[in-house]
Amino acid sequence: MDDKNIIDIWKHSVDNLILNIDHATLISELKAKVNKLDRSIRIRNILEIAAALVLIPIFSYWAFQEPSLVFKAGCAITVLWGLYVIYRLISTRNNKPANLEDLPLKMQLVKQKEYLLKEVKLLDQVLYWYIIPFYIGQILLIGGLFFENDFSIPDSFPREGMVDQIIYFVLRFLPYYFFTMFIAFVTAFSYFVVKLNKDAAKNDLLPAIYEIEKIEEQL
Amino acid sequence: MGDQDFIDIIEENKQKIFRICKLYAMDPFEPEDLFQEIIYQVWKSLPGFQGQSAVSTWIYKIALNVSYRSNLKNKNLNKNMVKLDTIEVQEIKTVDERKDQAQYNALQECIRQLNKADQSILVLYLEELPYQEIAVIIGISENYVAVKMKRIREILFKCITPKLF
Repeated sequence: MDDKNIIDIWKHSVDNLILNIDHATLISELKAKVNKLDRSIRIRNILEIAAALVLIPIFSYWAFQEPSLVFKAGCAITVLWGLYVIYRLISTRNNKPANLEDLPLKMQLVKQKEYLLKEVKLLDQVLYWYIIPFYIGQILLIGGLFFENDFSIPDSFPREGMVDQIIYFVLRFLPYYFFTMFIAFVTAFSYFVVKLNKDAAKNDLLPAIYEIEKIEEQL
Repeated sequence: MGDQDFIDIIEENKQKIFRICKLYAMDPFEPEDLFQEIIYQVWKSLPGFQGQSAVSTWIYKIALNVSYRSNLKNKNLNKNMVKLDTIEVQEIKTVDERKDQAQYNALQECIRQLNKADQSILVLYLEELPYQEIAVIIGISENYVAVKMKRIREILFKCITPKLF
């Protein structure tokens, strides 16, 4: 047993396979795949920017209509938050290494790791750049609506019978109920966003980074 | 480089690419999937190929890099793996099929016992590349390749000899 035997085994490992490549259509298929991928990336970018741009007129109009200063501040924070989120996502995506496949293996691993570390940072800090500004914006929005509007029930409302009393009671506390429900919903949403992002970093990105570091040590 | 150059490159190198795919393909990817992705990446990288290294060096770099990426099991890095309908892999029956397969399985098992870095150095050695070219593809020094190969050969022979005799 020498090197030649081993090399023979290796080299003949695909002798029983025929790799059929339809030359006539391969090039057009490759071009179509590249175009499709480019188009889907362009569409996604346009949709994301459009979503952010839609936020501006809606919340600006809303802020203009509502006299509450707290509500106006909530609108402003929500608009700024939306724009910043889009900027952050796009700039992170632009950091994704492209066409690094023909670099030496060691260098390619370094670049992949750099990209994955940036993604981990993005997901790990989601509380600070995504949730906190969002949460503050929503609290100010609902707080402005709730505390600076009069939801009291007119004195003329009948309260004599049992049914009237129940209706009065429900209407009296309905705004509090909505306020509490909204805060609970926003809190639950925030918690799940943080958890999902932390889990994605832990389960998807960190194992890949450890794997790269292991190979880097071996080299 | 034009379309015909690309076809020529693929035709000339498809066997060596597939050998690498066979070794590195891991669930959920089949060797065919890896092969198609490598062909796609070769196509995408072609405009940037300056001819500063040999075509085979360039192809091996792409094949190894794509294979490593697929092994990382990261959804984000592998979400755009392409499928090419124009590529088809057919298996044919050979006379010594069983014996060949058993020998290859033994070799594959021994290669997979090595760490990832040593695997890639060994694969390039089995492709009969000189140490200098292996060094360029991996991004380490030629001397280091020689030192590593000495140790890798020892481990490989210790593993494979009892399996083949």
